[in-house]
Amino acid sequence: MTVAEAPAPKHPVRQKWWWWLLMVAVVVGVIAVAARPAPQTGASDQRRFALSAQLKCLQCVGESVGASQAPLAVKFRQEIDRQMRQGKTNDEILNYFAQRYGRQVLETPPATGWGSLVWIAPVLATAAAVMMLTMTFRRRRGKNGAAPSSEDVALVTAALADRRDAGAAPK
Amino acid sequence: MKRRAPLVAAIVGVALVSLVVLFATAPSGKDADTSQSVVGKLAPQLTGTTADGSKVDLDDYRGKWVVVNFFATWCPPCVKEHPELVKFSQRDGQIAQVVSVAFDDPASKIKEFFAERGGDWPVLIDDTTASSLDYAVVKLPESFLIDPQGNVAQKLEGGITAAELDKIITSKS
Repeated sequence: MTVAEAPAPKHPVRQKWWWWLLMVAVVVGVIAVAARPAPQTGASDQRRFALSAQLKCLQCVGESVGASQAPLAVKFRQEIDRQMRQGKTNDEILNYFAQRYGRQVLETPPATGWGSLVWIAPVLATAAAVMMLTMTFRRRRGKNGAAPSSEDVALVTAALADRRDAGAAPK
Repeated sequence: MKRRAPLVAAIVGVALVSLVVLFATAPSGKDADTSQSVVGKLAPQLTGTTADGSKVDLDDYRGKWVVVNFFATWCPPCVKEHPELVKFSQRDGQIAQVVSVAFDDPASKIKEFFAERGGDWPVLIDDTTASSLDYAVVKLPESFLIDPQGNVAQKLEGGITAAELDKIITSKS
C-alpha cells in the first residue's frame, strides 16, 4: 500500500515573505491613520477631543478631561471651546491650563528635565536590547557557523540526489 | 567577542547615567514659571453677575478682607460649611466680606439655598468657569482669603469655620 504524499507548496518561502510584507503594511497603515495629527485650528469636535484628551481630570483617577463627566472636566471643556472660538492655538490653550494648575495637569510629560526620561528611556532600552540580541546572534553564529566537512557535504549531496530521483520516478 | 558584551553594557550604562544627569540638571523650558498656586499673588480678577442681577467686582472690596468661596448647592461639604460663613459674615462684616462663586448652579437654586440657610453676601452665578479656573479650583468647597491690598493671603481647601477665618485674619493683620 502506498501513502499518497501531500503536494508540496509551490513557493513556500516567497509566500512567507508576502505575509510578512502584508502584515508590515497593515501595521504601518494603522499607525499612520491613528497618528495623523488632530486639527490645529477651528472649533471642531475632533480638535476639542484631541485637546481634552491631553488634560488630566483632576477630580478623577486615571481619566482625561475628555473622558470624564466630573464638574471640573466639564468646565475644562467649556473653556477649551471658548478658547478655540477665540482662535487660540493648541499650545496656548494647553499652556492656559498648565499655568493655572501646574504641569501635572498635562497628560503628555514634558520633554525637558526629569520628564524627558519618559521619552528617552524606551529608545535607549530598545537600542540596548537590539544591540544585545545582535551580539547574541553573532556569538551563536560564530560557535555554530564552522565550515562543513567534506563528509557533511557528501551526505547532503547524496540526500539531495535521492530526493531528486524519488521525485522523478514514475508513480 | 566575549569581552564585548560587558563593554557594550558599560557604554550603554554610562550613556544612560549621563542622560539622567543631563536632563535632571537641564532647565525646565518655557513652562518653568507655571504654578498652580495663586497664594501670595495679586488675586485674579473676579467679576460677574449675582443671582439678583447686580454686578460684582472683587476690586470694589479693596481695603477689606475678602473670603472668595467657591461652592455648589449640590456639594455636601459646602452645605455643611454654609452656617459658618453666615456666622463669619454677621460677626466680621465690618472688616471682611464674603463673596461666593457658584460652581455650577442656576440662579433659582442659589436663591432657594440662601433663603433656606441664610446669608446675604453676593453670589456670582453667570459664567463662572473662567473665575474657577483662574483660581485653580479643584474640589469644592474651596475658599481664598484676599487681604485688604488685594493679594491672596491663603487658600483654604474643604469646609472652613468662622473661628479658623478669624484666626488667619488675626495672624496676618
